[in-house]
This record gives sequence, C-alpha cells and structure tokens, in this order.
Amino acid sequence: MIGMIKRIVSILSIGIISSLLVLEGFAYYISIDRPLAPASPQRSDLNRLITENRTLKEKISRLSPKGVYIVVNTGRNLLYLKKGDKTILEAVISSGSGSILKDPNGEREWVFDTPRGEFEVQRKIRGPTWIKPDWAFIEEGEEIPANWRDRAEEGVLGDYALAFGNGFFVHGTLYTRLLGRNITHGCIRVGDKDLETIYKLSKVGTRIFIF
Amino acid sequence: MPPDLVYSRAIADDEGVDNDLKILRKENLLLGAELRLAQKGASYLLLDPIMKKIYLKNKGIIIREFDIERIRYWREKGLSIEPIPLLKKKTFFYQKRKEIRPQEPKKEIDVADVTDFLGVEDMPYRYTLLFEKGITISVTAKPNKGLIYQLIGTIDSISKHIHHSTILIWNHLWKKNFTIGDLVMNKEDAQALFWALQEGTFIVILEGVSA
Repeated sequence: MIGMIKRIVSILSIGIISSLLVLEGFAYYISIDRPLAPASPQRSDLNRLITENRTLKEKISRLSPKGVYIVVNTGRNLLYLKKGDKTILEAVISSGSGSILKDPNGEREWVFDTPRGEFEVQRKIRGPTWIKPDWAFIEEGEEIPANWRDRAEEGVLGDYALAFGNGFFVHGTLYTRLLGRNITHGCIRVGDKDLETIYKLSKVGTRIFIF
Repeated sequence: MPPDLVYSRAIADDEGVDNDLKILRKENLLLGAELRLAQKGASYLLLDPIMKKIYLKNKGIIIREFDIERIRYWREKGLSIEPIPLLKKKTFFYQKRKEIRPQEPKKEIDVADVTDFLGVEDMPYRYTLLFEKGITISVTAKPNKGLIYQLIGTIDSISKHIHHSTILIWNHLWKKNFTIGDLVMNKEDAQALFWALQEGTFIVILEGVSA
C-alpha cells in the first residue's frame, strides 16, 4: 500500500515537473526575439539618424526649465529649489491631506489634494491675507459670511506667498510642528526661513513641478 | 554612445554600422516619445530595465528616481518604444480617504488629530498597474530578512512565474498582445511609486536602449 502511494506520488511529481518544464519552454519560445532580416546599412541612413537625434535632443532641452525651478515631493513632504541639476535648497513642507469634505447643506464636495503636474508662479505676494473660502467655514461648523470682508484672516499665511493657479499657494504657516505631514487643504506650507529664500529666488514664471 | 562617436566608428568600421543604426533608431524613438510627453504639462515615467530604474520626469528633467531590485518580464513580441497610458492601479487593500465631519469650532489643531490623514506610508507595496496594449506591471516589495519571509517570497516568485507563463501562452493562442513585467523594489520606493502614479500617467518602456 505504502509502496503504491510512493509510486503514485513519484509519477505525479514527474508529471507536474515535466508539465512545468513544457510550459516554461513554450512560454520561452513565444517570447524570444525574432529579429527582422537586417537592412543593408546605408551611410545616408546613419547621417539622417544622427541629425534627427541632435534635433530631438535640442527640442527636449528647450522645454526644460532655465534658471531656478521648484520640485515638490508630496509623498515625502519635501520641496527642492533647483537650478539645473543643482539643489539650492531642500525644505520640509506640508501638503494636501487627501481628505474629503461634503457640504451638509448641498451637493458640494471638496477633496483636499495638492494638484500634481507642472505649474508656474503666477503672483508673488508679501504679507498675504487669507480670504477664507466656503469650505473653511463649513469645516468649522460656522455660517458662511455674506460680506467678503468677514472672510479675511491676517497672519495665518506667513510673510510671503506664491500663487500657482486655481487658488493654490506656497505660503507660510503657524503650525510649524506639523511640517512634514500631509495635513493641508491643498496648498503647500513652508517654514518661515525657507519660504523667504524661495520667495526671493523665484520670480513670476518660475516653474513648479509637483508629484 | 553619443551619435558623433557612432558616426566616427561607422567611417572606420562598416561592420558595426548595422548595430549602430539599430541603436540610433531605438534612441530616436525614445527621444521622439519623450518629446511628445514633455510637451504636455504632466509627469511621465521611463522604465529602464537595463539600468533597473524608473524615472519620473517632467519637461525632460528627472524629478524622482526609483530603484528596481529585480525585473523580469514575459511578452510575446518586443515592445515598441512609445508612450502608453496607465489605465488602473489595482491592489487588495486600499486606504480610504478620511471624510471630514463639519463640527463645532476648534480651538487648535493638535498633532494627535492629524495621524489619520493619507500619507505615502499608507500606500500599498504590492500592487498591479494595468496599462493600455495589454501591458501589466506588478510591483512587489523586497521580502523582509528572515527565513520565513524568504521562503514566502520564493514561493510567491515561483507561483508568479507559472501564472505569467500560463497567461502568456493563453494570450498567444487567442492572438492577444500581452506583456507582464514583474518588479521587485524596496518597500519605500514601491510605496512612493504608487503615491506618485495617477491613472492617465504615461510610461515609456526602454526595451533594448538605456536612458
């Protein structure tokens, strides 16, 4: 009985291993490169390809930022101020929390992500005033004021702000111990000293790459 | 190899021209693909299997590099070097976004209140990326040190090998384009890559040419 079981197990093992080897062999055969018949090399082809290569590289190079640019890593909450390959400043920041807020009175919904992609500095502001949007009142359970002057809050955005579109800013913060965390409503918060450097070295049109 | 050197070698040695033509053609395809992506405002990926790196780029500049510990792929025929969009990120466990409940006015934000916002450390390190043209890339974190983890990792690797080979053969029989890449990365890079990727991000896979 035991002998028979052993024989069955051996046959099954050999069968499984053989099947796997056949499977592997077939998969390998399907996936190997089958090169096309090589074309006769032509010197004119080579010259054309070299010219094309140079042209493409020049075109790509023209698209890359000249001068200072900013890279924001929202995963690690780091901001790099760069020029070419050189990093001028590395700053700890806070970026969007990814949370959702729903308006209990209506159908509005806000998702607090920092936007990703390429942007540019549109405005530079000294002593910015925060004009609180509707979500800021809803989040705190307060009435939305009718008068826009009641939305203004001084001193919460730090000494400088850089606007990069759609209501998003790089600005200062009172909550410096929360730098390094994903806790904002989408804006990028930076400590005072780093913000001053970024503000002074950037200009309108400075590119910002966020990922 | 810079095209000038290729040209000089071509004059000296005609036998190398065919190979140089091939390399230049592929490099030009890569540059053409990158130029098309760089002209948009969004970030894109270059997967370099030779250097074992993934480059996150925007406008031709590298904004983040991810290291690959190990890469394997199964495909029926060679990949063309062209931008391919990401359709979906798939994982078993999704960290949900926090929903903010409008509430009574808060006095001050405490660090303890912000621990449950989404961060890169909440991202999965074992997931699948589905791209157009039947391309699937599965990403797994390197197993932890320790005999049990290594054993689990080995079993996982073998079962993936069998699964992917079977799928390759199946798709070959049904004449469907199919490519699976299997990447092993360290946990932090795997999480950071998941964080950085959005559906719609384009990838260029540099098969046969290094960036």
